[in-house]
Amino acid sequence: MEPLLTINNLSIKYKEKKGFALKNICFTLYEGEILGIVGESGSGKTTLAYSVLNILPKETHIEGEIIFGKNNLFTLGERDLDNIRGKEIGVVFQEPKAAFNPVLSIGYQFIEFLKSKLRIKKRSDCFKKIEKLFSKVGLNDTERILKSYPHQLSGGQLQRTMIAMALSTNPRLLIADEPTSSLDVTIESQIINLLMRLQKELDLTVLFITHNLALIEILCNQVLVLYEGEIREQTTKDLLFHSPKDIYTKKLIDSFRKIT
Amino acid sequence: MEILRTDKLVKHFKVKKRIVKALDGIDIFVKEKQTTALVGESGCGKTTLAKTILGFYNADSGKIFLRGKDITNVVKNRKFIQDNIQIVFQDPFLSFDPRYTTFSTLYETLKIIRRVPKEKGRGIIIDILNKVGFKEDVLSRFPHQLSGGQLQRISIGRALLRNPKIVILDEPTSNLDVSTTVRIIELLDRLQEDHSLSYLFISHNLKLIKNISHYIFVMYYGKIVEYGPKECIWKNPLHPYTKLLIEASEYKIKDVSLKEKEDTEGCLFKNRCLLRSKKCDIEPERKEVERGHFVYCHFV
Repeated sequence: MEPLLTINNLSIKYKEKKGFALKNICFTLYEGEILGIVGESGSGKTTLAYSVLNILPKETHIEGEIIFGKNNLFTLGERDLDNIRGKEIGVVFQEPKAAFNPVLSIGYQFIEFLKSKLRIKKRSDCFKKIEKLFSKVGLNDTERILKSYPHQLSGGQLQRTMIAMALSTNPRLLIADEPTSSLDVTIESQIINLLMRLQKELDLTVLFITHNLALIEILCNQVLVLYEGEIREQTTKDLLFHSPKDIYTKKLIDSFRKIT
Repeated sequence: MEILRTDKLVKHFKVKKRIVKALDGIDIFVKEKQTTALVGESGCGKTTLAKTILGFYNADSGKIFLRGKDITNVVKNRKFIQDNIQIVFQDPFLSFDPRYTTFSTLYETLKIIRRVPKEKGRGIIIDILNKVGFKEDVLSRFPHQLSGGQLQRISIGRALLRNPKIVILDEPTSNLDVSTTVRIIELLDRLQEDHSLSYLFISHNLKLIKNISHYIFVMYYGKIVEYGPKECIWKNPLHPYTKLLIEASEYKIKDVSLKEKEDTEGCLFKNRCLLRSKKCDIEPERKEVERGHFVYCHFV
């Protein structure tokens, strides 16, 4: 297996904050793997996702390197980055309602995305592509959804659209940043199973960020436990649940067992 | 003993010429010193029920009884309702004024209950805050300086200021992560003992409910579809919707397409139901399967 994403000694400090948001993060993600990143709110999970996309605020203090494929993401120019963001790295964010522009229709946003990333020129070609993608993620009436504005769709529908958009460019890496934490259980279950199926079909490499250990249990092969910006434990899923080494991890698993 | 009971509660909303039946003949009850859970997916009317009980909405028809007294007329009974029922909302960041410190928020609540000078009020507030696990220093903090879990604990403290008999918990932990959730649940458990509280716990997470409730009501689009003691519902779920929820909480639903709920006659769940047959066009009646375990389905 080839390493797809390698992070070396990554430390990040936001301009106005005192401590480091991330401290000395090192890990490697191999092709075809699902790596789960678990931690409480404020542990730096989302900062990690943002740094892989290199969309941190301008004056952030960054140390270390992130190597994606053969490129160091921090030294690339804006134009090369644009070819990677959203194209080679697909993203599904936490809050589907906030991920879309509320004053533009879904169709406009989707077609805009396809035009800029895939250079598809004809509207009808875009439409065909979207229809194919939608059937993959279980959305049936393409036309109605494309005409709708984000507030007219449910969270589940928006998240499916989001996934379809992220997968439209055949990304090499998919970052899913708590993709289901704002959805309710039935929809969550559907979306998770959808992601699992798509991962197998397309042989995707996934960086799955969550605070929900139950999802780690069913989705991931490798797990990384983050706490206050540091990696507390890095292990396989089975070892994490059966013999956690770190005290914090043990506590986390204990509290998880209490409510399940 | 039942401390709160609703009797065929109905509340319909008009949305763009369409009628949304948020509550369509709801009978639930909350037993004294117990936790009663209300489960259902988003949009099924859980929060509307809470708000109707509290008198934020006037019910279209039906009755609500609190400690044996009919409180359906909100205006006449407002004080009685407020003295007995308090609520903790879902999103802690939306339930506090961002410009008020913890002290001003809680003092504001205290002033509504009775006239107290600031110094004495401070004592009472510190007492309550100690109970939910805070020290004095939190008094001068603003909501943005506190975490979701901390705010939720203050929310619980605020609800307790009035010494209620019932606390409605409207998805109190759905915005919090695992370890914070456990802390809140343990706190709620302790407070229930100390203050002999009854809880109406609203949630969409069956796994969470399994651990804390005594009694479960399952709601689907304005109607109760199954209810009974926790053990019965968990070990022997009978309504297809309850089964679906339990599967969902274990991430076992493989069905990837979305089926939308339409306005239908008869059983509301039939469009999503695998057992569907002609019988389902007639509204199912209530059947008792075990002692205290009721189900609304033709196939039970």
